[in-house]
Amino acid sequence: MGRPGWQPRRLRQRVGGEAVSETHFSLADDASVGTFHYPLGLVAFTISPESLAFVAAGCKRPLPEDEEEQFRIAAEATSLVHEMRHFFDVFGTWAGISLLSTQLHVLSEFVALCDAMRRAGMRWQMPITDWAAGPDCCPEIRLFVRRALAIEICTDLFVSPFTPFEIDGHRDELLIEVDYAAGGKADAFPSQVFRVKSLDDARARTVLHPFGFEALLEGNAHAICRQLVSQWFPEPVQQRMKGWMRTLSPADRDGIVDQRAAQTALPYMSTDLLVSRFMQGYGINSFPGEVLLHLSDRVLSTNRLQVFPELVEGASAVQFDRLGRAFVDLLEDSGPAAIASGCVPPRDDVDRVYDTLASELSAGGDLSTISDDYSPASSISIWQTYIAKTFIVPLLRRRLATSHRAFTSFDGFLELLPVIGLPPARVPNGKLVLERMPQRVQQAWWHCLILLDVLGQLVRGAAFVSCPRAFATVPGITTMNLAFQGKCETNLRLGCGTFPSEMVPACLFAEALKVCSLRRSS
Amino acid sequence: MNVKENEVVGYCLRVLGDDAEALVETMNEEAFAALQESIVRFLDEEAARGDASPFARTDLDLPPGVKPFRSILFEDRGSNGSRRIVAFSFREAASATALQLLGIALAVFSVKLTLAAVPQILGVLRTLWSKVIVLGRPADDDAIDVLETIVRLRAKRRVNGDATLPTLREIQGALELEGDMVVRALQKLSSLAVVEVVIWGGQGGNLADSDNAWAVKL
Repeated sequence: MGRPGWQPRRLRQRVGGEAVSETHFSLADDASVGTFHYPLGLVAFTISPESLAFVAAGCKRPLPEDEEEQFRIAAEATSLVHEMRHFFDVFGTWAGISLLSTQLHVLSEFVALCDAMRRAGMRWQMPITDWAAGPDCCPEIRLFVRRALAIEICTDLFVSPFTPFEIDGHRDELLIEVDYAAGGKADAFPSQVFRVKSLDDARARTVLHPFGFEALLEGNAHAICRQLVSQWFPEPVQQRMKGWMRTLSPADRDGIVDQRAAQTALPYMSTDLLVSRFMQGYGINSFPGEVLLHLSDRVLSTNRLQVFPELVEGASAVQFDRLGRAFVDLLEDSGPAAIASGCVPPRDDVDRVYDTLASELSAGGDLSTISDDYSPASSISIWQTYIAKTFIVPLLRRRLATSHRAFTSFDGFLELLPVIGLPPARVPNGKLVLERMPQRVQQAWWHCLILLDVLGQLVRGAAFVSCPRAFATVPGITTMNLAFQGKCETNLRLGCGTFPSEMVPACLFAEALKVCSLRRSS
Repeated sequence: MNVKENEVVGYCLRVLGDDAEALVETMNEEAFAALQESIVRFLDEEAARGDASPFARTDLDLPPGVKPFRSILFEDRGSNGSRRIVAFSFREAASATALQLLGIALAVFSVKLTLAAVPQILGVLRTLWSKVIVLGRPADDDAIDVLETIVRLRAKRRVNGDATLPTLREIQGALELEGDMVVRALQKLSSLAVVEVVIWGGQGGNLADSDNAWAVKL
């Protein structure tokens, strides 16, 4: 999740029952000004000295004349706020907490299985997806791989971090259902565009924007940033913020143009565009900006990803709600008049759910109650407990104390920022800073980072495992040395960073390989 | 055994043991990148000859969702953020040894390791390879051992910040070979234009002078 920074996926679209084409997603090349990595609570943002000076002066400093410069300062000045909103939406909503707990749940199962395998002298055979499908894989491992893969796919569908793509003609529905190549279906909002060759030659096209957890979070963060920009910046910058898209040459490097409009698209305006189309259907052309926060927060408060704890052959491992469908249902249930007045009818059960969740998390012991044997399992418990006590419970309490205003209004969000403070991991201008966390929690954070990364690669069927430090899967990680002796930089030159490999230095990644039962302990 | 793109330099240098780490630390980022790219492109060219080549190439796809790999040979995505990686395997041990020697030679004897110079470095590597690969054990044991000693001695000095080249006396001292055998090996390597005397110890043209300073001819 970030600005822009999407993960690439493959999505095969199917519209109206007709297979249209298969699209290969492409990773954006443009520079990102911020990203948020949800299982790690990591916020990365960029702020240049000029933008910092602008913010430090209370956003009242004279701006440079150049509009491009003004826009850059606007993007950078709001970068931290944008990513912090993601942080709050993940750690302070039912949907976000379910996503976090799902990731940590499957990680716990993985660590437990690896532990059992290590004690039995077994090692994973890669790709594990092929191994699990073969006859020589034991049932427990096969079951875990299937389950982890199902969770991975359902998480993809829930979050929908897909790259948009184009189809011919104009579609005017609120949502279109799209097949995902890995299985299942995702929601997409169809926005109408024209591919113009000349005044007489305009071809109608539709860009399908994935509409899931990511679209809701990006819509929320962007709505807040637009509100801030409207206070600090001139009209042209406000308009550019509203229509923010990637700037690309007309054709890609292979001379292909037919997906170019989709490739310029960013996920920030999907919720706004969808609500606009809904309202226009009733002849209403405007609505209060804050209603986007209301709508998204309600959807994020009443829908979730749910993992079933039992590992039972044949049972469904995971269930998820379709957030796009839920968003449209909420619009229709609320009605255009309520939306136009900025109201979303209240739901009593939301308070009850959050109150129960906050009470349960508060009732659990703190870090000192965890029996810590410095194992990966202990690290997962420590990380889980730390984020629950430090962020989730305070966010939920604040939500309840403000009758959700902290999440549904611009002012409420701005008041929340100093209450919660900095995220546990942050990367200002590329440098990873973990100082907010106690030492053992930092260690637990590193364990979770590497184990989540290794698990993700295995489940996606990697033939080899790459080190997250070597391949910079997390912003700022290259500023850290994970080698126990010597330096990562030197070891990387000598060929470390992938497994299996001849070069295995003494480092955190090598330890993770042993813990994950990929490499024999020496 | 598969050696991935990111592993080729480490693979070449690992015969240096502990000096390998110190040696790569003496190289700036561009010099290292130029060395890596030259060796990878050379292996790729060689592997393209198919069964006639001692190297075979394997393309490995990264699964979706895994961070793209900065491949030298694939430029699938934007500014070289490929989703594929190349690995090479060796069909015979002699080729692996030759590659390692030449990799170290490039690292310690090249005067201009820059990305702009990669085509020239590649040309040097091709020429050297064609000369070294004709040497085979056991017939050319002495020549191979002498070449390896020159490369190792130079690497050791480079690591210690010493710019001097190994002399015949030092090469003889490092090898358990009789002096004549070392000179004969040097004559052979010299006739193949694999090594050369850079500083003559005495009368020019006397290859047997103990003070002659030797280098791999790039």
